Amino acid sequence: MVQNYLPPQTIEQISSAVSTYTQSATVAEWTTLTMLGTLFLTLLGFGIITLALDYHWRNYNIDTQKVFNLRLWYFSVAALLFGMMLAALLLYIL
Amino acid sequence: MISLQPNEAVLYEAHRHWLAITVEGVIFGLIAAAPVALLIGLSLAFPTIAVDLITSRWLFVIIFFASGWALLLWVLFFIVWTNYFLDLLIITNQRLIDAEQFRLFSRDQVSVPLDQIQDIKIETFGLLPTIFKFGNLYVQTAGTGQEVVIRNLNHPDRVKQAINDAYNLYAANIASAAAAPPVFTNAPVSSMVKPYETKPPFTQYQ
Repeated sequence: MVQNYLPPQTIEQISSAVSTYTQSATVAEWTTLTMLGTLFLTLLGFGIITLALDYHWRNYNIDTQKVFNLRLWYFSVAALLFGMMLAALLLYIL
Repeated sequence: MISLQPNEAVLYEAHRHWLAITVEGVIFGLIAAAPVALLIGLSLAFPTIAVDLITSRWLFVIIFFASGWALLLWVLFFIVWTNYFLDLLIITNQRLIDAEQFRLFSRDQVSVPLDQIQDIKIETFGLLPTIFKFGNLYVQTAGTGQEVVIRNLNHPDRVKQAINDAYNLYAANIASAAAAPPVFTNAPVSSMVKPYETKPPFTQYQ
């Protein structure tokens, strides 16, 4: 599929660059990459699940005040944990 | 979305017992605290390694993944909590509504008119259900012979009583409506005739 859109020379260059990087990458770089990937997947999963939960809370017979309190709890703790992840990543990189 | 009929009023709402969600919450809390407990255990068993780990940049990696783990469990707990909270039995003056949330994208809702309820059975098995007063409720319905089962319901005896009261109220309303005398008015007949009925009779066109 990729060959249909990119010239062989470009694919060769990209794969060569990736291969060189993966062979020369240090443990610290691998760790940083893993942390970045985890952070991205966490944000994605958290966003999807939160949208689904919010849909349920809005639609199924829960009064507004309860939904507000629920959201406040949910988001404040989640934001704290996500902030800790982000801070740890930045402190590790810097 | 649970929508009520124009003359329908909610008489009683029942949830599953809080013990079910409490046990799940405690399990989630223990799993969330596992990395911290592991770190404490490690530092007690191997003090030198633990000191090296804590004073190096690896501490941030540990904090990162422990926070991610806790965030994952926090979201999972809210999914479980939402499933618990949206499992609801509603008794109205016309019917019984059993809404059940299985998973995040899986939901079931059964509605049984009060006059189709044939039998109600409550079941309490075991020490904890007896002490904390929760159990299963079985509602046998007429027609398709379908049975509605609500498990781990809080105070099933009260719910059964509420269904009986709702049915008695419903039956009394039906009986009083049937026994009510016909209403007569002194209004002229012409005022009751609808406009399309005032057209000239068909014979005029012949």
